[in-house]
Amino acid sequence: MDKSIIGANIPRLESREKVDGSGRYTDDFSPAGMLYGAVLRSPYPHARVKKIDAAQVLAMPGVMAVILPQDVAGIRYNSSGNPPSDLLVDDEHILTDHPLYEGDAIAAVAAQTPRLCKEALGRFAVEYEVLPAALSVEAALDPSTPPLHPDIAKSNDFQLLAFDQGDVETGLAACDIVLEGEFATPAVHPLPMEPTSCICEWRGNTINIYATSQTPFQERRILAGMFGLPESAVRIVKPLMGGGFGARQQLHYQPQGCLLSKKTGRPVKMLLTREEEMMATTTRHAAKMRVKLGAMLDGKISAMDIEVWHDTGAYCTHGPIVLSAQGKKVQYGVDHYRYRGHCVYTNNVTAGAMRGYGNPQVTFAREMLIDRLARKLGRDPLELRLQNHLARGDTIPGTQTLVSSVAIQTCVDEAERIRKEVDAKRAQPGEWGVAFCMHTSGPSNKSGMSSASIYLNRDGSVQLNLGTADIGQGSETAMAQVAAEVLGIKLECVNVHAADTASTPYDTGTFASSQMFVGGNAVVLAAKSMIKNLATALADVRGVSAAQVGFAGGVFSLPDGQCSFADAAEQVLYGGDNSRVVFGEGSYKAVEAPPVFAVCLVRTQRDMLTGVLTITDAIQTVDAGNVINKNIVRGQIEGGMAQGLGYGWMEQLETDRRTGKHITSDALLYKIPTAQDIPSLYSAAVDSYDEFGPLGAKSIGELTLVPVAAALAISAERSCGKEIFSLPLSKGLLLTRAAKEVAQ
Amino acid sequence: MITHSFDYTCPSSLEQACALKSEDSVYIAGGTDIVPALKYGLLFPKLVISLQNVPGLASITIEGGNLVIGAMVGLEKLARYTEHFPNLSGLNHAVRAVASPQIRHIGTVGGNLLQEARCIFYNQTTAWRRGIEPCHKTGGSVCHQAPAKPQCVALYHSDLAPAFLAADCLVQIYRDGNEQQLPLETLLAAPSRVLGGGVLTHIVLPDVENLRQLHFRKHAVRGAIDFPLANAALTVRACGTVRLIMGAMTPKPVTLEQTQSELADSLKEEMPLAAQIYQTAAAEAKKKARPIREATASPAVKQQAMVVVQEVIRDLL
Amino acid sequence: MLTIQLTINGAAHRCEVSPNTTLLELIRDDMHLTGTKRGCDQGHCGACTVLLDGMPVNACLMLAVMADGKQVETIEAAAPGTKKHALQQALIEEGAVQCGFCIPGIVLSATALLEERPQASRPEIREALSGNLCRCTGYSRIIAAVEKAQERGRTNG
Repeated sequence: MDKSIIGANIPRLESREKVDGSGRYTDDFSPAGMLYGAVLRSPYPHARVKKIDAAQVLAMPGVMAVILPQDVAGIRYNSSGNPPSDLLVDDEHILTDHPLYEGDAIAAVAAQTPRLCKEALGRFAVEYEVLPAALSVEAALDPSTPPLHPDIAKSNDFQLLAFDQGDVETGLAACDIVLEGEFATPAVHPLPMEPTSCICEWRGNTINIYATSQTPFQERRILAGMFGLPESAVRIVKPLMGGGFGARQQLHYQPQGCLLSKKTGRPVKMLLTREEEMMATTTRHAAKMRVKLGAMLDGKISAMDIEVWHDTGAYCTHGPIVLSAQGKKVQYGVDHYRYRGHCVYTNNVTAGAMRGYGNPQVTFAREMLIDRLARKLGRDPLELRLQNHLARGDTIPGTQTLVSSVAIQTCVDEAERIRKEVDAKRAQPGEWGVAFCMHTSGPSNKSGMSSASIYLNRDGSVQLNLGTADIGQGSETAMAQVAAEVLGIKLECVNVHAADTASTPYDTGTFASSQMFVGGNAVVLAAKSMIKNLATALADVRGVSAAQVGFAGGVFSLPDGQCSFADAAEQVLYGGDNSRVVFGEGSYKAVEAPPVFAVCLVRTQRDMLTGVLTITDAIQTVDAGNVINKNIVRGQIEGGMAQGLGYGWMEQLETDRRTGKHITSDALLYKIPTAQDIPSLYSAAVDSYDEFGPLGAKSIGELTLVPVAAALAISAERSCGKEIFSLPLSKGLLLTRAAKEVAQ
Repeated sequence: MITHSFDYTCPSSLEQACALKSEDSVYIAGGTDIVPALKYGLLFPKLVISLQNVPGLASITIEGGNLVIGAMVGLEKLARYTEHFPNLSGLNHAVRAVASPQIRHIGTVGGNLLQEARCIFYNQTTAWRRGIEPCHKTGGSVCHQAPAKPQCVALYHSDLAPAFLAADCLVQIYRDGNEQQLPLETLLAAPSRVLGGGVLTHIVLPDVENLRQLHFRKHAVRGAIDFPLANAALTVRACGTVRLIMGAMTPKPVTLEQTQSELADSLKEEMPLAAQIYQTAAAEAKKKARPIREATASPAVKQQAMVVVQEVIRDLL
Repeated sequence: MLTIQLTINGAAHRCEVSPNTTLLELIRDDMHLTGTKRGCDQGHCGACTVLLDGMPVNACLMLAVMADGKQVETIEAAAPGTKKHALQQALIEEGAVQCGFCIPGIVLSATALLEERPQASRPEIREALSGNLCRCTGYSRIIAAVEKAQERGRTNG
C-alpha cells in the first residue's frame, strides 16, 4: 500500500474551509425569497387539543401561512432513516391534535422573519385538555394506563426482540456462580453542536431540500411516499454538517417545511432553537436492564441472560431496530444466551438513534457484572475477559455473524503498556476500571448498501461521487484516500462530490458505522471498474486487445510500453474516432458486518477527606482493521471517549415527576463535558486487517463511545467500594477531573 | 432571540441614570443576566439603561489601604488584577470560577453580585412555562420546588459574593442623589429595597494588608460554565478574625459562625486543627443549608457538594 | 432604531439596529458573515465567540448596541502570517477539526490566548477554551494544536 496515503495522518479535505469560516452549514444558506418556519409545540406531555384558532396568527402582517392538524390528518409515517423494515411502525403524524410528549408538533407557521415566527407561535389560541402522562416504563406498563397508540398495539410494550443460543436456564443451573443485577441508564441527547435545520422548497412538482441529514436517500424515499411524488422529484442535499451522532438519522421537520413551502410558494427554513433541540429531537433510549451471568470457578462464563426495557418515548422511530442491534453484541463465547428486548411507548420525548444504538446501555450492565465476577473470583479483569473472548472464526452468540478478524490480545497488550506508563507517573494510588466492547461495521442486519461512481477528467484527475453523508467524521476524506490508493493516483487528484440525491448514487445512510466498511467497499469496486473500463478503452484506442493491457500502481502496461493513468485518460478522451467518456461504478451490498473491538481503561482517585472522586486518565485501544487515516481514527477514539465519559458522568435528560415537565431544556441544564472536564486521553488503533474490508479496514464510528461509561463506573465502584447500578454517576457522586496531567 | 421591544439609552452620569429609572426600566451592566432574562421572557422592561458610559465605575484602586473595585469592572479584569496579590488568591479563584472566559469578558463585578436567584422552574422560556402554573416569581402563588412554601426558595449562586463577604466587603451605592456605604451583606439581604432606583457603584475590600489569606472553593457538576452546587470562602486576618461563608445552598450566602469561631480560637492558640473541625464544619453547613432541586446533580450530590467548606479549611493548612 | 458605528474585521460600518437585536444577529443576519455560528443562542456553548476589542465574548449575549464604538473581529478576518493563521494550520494538521461547528469560536478564543500569553501552560489553555463546547473531538487534538502553534511561535521568534 502507498504509505503516504493509507495509514498516514492525512489532513481532511474540508478542514481549511472549516477553520477559516468560509464553509457553509445549512443555516448559512439563505435562498432568495426564503421564509422562516416554526412549530407550535405542546407544553404538556399528554393532552388533547380541543380547539385551535389561528385567526390572530393569520392576522399578523408578515405571516404567510399556517398549517393545522386537520390539513395533514391522513398521513402516518415513521421518520427513521432506515431501509424499509417490518419492525418499523408508522405511528407519527406531521401535526397532531393529540400530543403524546412535551414538544409534540401541533401546528406550523411560516413568516418573514424568525422573530415574527416566534411571536406568531404565541398567538395561537389553543384549548388543551391535559391528560395523565406515563413518564416511565413502569407507568406505561401499569394496567390502568391506556395504550398510547391503540390502533397499533393494545399494550405499550409493543415490540419484543428475542435472540437465543442454547438453553439459558439449564446453562445457569449448571454454573458454579451466578451473578445478577438490575441496572438503569438514562435518556441522553446526541447534542451535536449544530442545531437541526432544513431549508425546503416545494416548487411545482419538485421538492428541493438542504438539511442536516445523515440519511438523505431514506428521507427522500419517505417524503416521496408521503407526498405522492416519484423519488426522482425529491432532491435532498446535505451541506457541511455540524455533527449527527444519530440525531439526524431521520426526518425531523422537513415535512412541515415542505408543506409550508408548498402553501407559500417560497423556500422555508426550519431552524430549531436549542430548547427545541433538547426537547423535541430524538434521544438515546433510557434502559432498564436485568442481567444474569453464570460462570464456572475457572472463569469460564457459560451463560448470559439479558432482559431490557427501552423507553422509546411517544413514537416508534428506530425503537425495535435498536433492540435488534443491541441483542447481537456479545463478544464472549457463552454457550447459553438469552436476550429479550422490550420496546415501550411512554409520554417521554421520542427516543431514536444515538451513537452506539443500544450497545452502550447493555455494555454498561454486562461489564459491571463481569467486573464483579472478576473480583469475586480474584481474577485480573483483563485476563478474565480474554479467557472468554471470541476468536477468529467464531460466531457472535445468538447470531450468524462471523468474527472475521479480531485483535483483542494486541488491544489488551497495548492498553497495559500505556497503563504502566501512566501509573509510573502518578504519585497517588488510583483504581482502574476495565471494560471491553464490540460493535459492528455496517448494519448488523446486513441491510447496508452503498455505491460510488467515478468521472474521469482529461488530465487524469477524477471526480468521486458518493452518496455518503459526511457528518463531520471525515468519511469523504477516507473514501478519497481509498480511491486514490486503488487508482494509483495522487490524493489531490480526487475531488469528492457527495450527499446530493440528484447527483450522487445511493448510500443507505450514515449510521451503524457504515461509511468506512460499506462505503469504502463500494469505492474499491468503483475504482476497479474505472480501471477496467479505462483499460478497455485504451486498448481500443491503441488497437490492441483488452487482454494485452495490464495495470499496477497507477500505470497501464501495453505491448509497446507503459502509460500513466493521466496519459491514458487523455488518449481515451481525445482518441480520435475511438474516443469515449469513461465511467467507473460500483455497488456493494454488505453481506458481512465484521465486528470491531475496543478495550477501555479509566482511572479514578478518591479524596479520603471529602469523598470527591477525581478522574485522572482514560485509555482506549481498538481493533478497527487496517487504519486508512490515522488522524481520523484517533479523532473517533478520542471523541467517542469524551461522549462516553459524558454518558457515564453527567448526561441525563430529566423530567420532574411532580409537574411532568422536561427540565433539561438547554445546554446549561443538560451538561456535556467542557475542556476542563476531559482527562488526558490515551489511544491506539492496533494492527489489524479484515479480509472483507476495503483495503482491510473495518469501521469505527460508534465503537469508541460504547465501553467508556462502563469503565468509568467500574473504576468509581472500585474507588468508592460501593456498588453502582445506574448512570449518570453525578446522581450519586461528586466527580471532578484531576488538575494534574502526566505527560504522554 | 429577544422578541420583546424596548428602548435603550446610555446616560453619561449617575444623576441621569437615576432620573431615567422607573418601575418599567432596568439597568444593564455587562448584560449576561439581563440578556438571557429578556430572551427567556422573564423581564419586560420598556427601557434598558446602560451604565457603560457612566464615568468612575470601572476602575480598581487602592485608597487608604482599601481595595476599591468599581461595580462596572469586568470580571476578567478583576481576575487579572488579583493575580498579583497572593493574599487574595481566593478572590482570583472565585472570579475565574464564574461561568466561562467569554462571559467573564462581558460580565461585571456588580452584575455578578446582583444576579437573580435561580431555579429550574424559573429559568425557562415563556413557552416552557406555559405548561405549569405561574410561581411566586412569575406572578403566581405556588412554588414548584416545595408546594407548601409561601415564598420563593430559589438559591443565590454568585461565586464572588462568598469571597467578598468573607473579606468583610462594604458596598457604595448612589441613591436619591447621595452616596451611601453599607455592608455587602445588607445589600444582598434585600437588593431591590436597598437600591431603590439607585446604582451599586463600588465594592470596598477594607484593609487589604490585614487580610492574610483568602481561600475559595466551588463544586459544580462541570469544571467550567456551571453555576455552583456549593461554594465557600474562608479568610484569616492578621488581627485573628476568621470568616467562613457558604454560598449556593441558601437564598443568601450564610456565615458558618460556630466553625469560624472555633477556627479563630485554634489559630489564636496556635494549636493544630483537630479532625474535629471538619465535622463541626460539615454539621453546621448541613444545618444551615436549604437546598432545592437542581439539574443533573441529585439532592444527595447537592448536599455532598458542601465539602467545599472542608476544602477551604484544608487549604488553610 | 438606533444607529451604531463599529469596526468589523477592520472595516468601519454604520448600522441601524433595534435595541433588541443581538450582536450575533447583526453579524450573521445583517452583515451576512456566517462564519460565526449560532449554537444555542444562550451563551452556553461558545460557538458564537467573536473578539470584541481583542477579547473573546459570546456574540449572542451582547446587544448589538453595546458594540457601538468597538472593534469586532470574526473568524473571517484574514490574518496571514499571524498567530491566528499558525493556529488554523495546526488545527488542520493535528486532526482537531471534525464537524467544525465549534471551530470558529475555538480559533478566536485560542488566538486571543496566544496573543496575550504566548507561553500559556496546559491548564491555562484548558481554561481559555472552557467556554467553547465541542462534541466531536474530546478537546485533546485541539489542545495539541494550540501547543503546536505555540511551539512554532517559539521557533519562528
